[in-house]
Amino acid sequence: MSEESKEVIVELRNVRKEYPTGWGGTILALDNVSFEVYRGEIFGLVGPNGSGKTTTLKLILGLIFPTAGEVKVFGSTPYDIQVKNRIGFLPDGPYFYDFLNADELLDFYGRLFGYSKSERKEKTEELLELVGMKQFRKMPLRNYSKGMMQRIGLAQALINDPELLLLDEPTTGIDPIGAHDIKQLMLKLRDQGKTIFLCSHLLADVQMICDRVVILNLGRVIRKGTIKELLEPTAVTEILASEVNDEALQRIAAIGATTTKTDSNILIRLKEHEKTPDVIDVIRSFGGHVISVSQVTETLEDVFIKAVRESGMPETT
Amino acid sequence: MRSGLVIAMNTFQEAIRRKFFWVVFLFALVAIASANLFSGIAPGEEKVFVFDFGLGSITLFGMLIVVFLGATMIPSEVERRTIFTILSKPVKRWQFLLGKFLGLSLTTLVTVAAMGILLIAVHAYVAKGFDANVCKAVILSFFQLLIVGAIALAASTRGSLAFNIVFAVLIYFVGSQSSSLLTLAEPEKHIVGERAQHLETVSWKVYAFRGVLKTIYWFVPHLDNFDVRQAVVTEGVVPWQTLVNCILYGLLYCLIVLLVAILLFQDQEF
Repeated sequence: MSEESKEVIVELRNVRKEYPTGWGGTILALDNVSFEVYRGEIFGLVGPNGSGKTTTLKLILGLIFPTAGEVKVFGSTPYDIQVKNRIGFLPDGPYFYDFLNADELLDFYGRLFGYSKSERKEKTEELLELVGMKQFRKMPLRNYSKGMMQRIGLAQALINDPELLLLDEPTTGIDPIGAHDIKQLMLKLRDQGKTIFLCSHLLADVQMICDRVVILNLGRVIRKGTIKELLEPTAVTEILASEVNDEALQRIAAIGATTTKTDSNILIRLKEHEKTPDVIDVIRSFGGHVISVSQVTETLEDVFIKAVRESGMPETT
Repeated sequence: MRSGLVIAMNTFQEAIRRKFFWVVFLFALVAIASANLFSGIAPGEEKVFVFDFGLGSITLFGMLIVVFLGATMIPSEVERRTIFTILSKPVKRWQFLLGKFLGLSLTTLVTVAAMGILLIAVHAYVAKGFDANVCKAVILSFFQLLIVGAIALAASTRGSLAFNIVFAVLIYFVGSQSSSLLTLAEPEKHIVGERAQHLETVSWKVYAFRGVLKTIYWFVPHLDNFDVRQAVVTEGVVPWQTLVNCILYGLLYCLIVLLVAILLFQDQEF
């Protein structure tokens, strides 16, 4: 499906956000940020600390107001109550009323959506089962671990069966099995037609489950596209060969490949994939042996670090 | 409005699960219950002492509860980031604030009602009969606390915890002296006789000062109108008209404070 034919769920147009610093000064948090999130995709927003991820999320939730530009959610302003009926939100390191237990917390959020008592009870059962918290339902939240809090946070975000789910670091503090379950849940929700907006520092997770990604740095969009669009330009053909003499190496270099000696073998990297047969021919014609041929791409983390370095910023995540 | 009521109930539930609330509340009950024990220091005036001491306790401890809860209400929501998930649900900002106020009001009502019933009982025991004036005085105390709570909540939409507490307590003290402010601002209406002749010869600085006092008088709640202890002692009765006027004034003042708070809260960023 082309981007034109997809339904836009979240849209940021030339958004600028400045925070007052006192004494009349301001600090720029977002500068001319534009992107769209389409229905039914998992959209990843990544960036170093202070890049503007949380500010972007708060703008989409209507917790703060843009200094310039436009933010639209379901074609309306984020302050619209009808919009809020259709979204779910899990904050980073979620905090809830710690005097409540899981049952009471989900009941409270269910009430805010106007669900009847039986609906709330049904949803509470279903969600506690989903996030694996049934056995802790009567424990006060103040006794919860970070991971348990994260799970119950996810349950409250899903209470209204939202069309758009905004998740800020959903797997932080969760054990590997729990994190795997949450990732599977995100994929399942996407398959059900939900849209997921994911902010995460875990770039391997983002690469694994996101359809499209925006990389922010110091309030600016420095890369955006599908995972394929971001990683494909980094693809190279790697040829591992043995018994390659110096003359062959010169010929291979002339084709445009780079070579690296590894113990008794030679690793040849080639950006222009169509020249792979030429390189193989050279190796064989000089008596060498081709051990393996593979195509490798960089990871999202590599792309992220490069992009951040190119824009001259620190890359701490 | 549904969301506002849900938040109100949650606020009430949270308030009554705080240790601070129970410490102050139980201390107040003990103070009121023991009023009779101390009444011996005013022989022949036991009834007046119990009334005075009991009502003073309701005001003092009620004030502690209402100022602390009101002043911490919004800052603690922001600090704990609970406000993020609430405002991302279908809850308008004014509903959230109204819910917080209603929750605070319900907490105040329950607290004052419990303390008031105890005071009425102790007073009835000492006076050997029920006195409707005590009941009226307790009702007026509730509305006095409601105003202070609304002010503390309004301050908490923008201010830090320390500022909110100081501001609410300051308004309470100034409001409790509002008639004195008016006397200072308009001496010609209150001072008669020989001393009045000196009033015409004052400088512009004094006029400016009186203007400031008068402005403050118009803005601060006239809380001294709610304190009927003196009236009960001197006149022996709290007129129904006073009760109705004070209640209407209290509700109107709370409404205005809430509207200001909503305006302050509407474009607040979190």
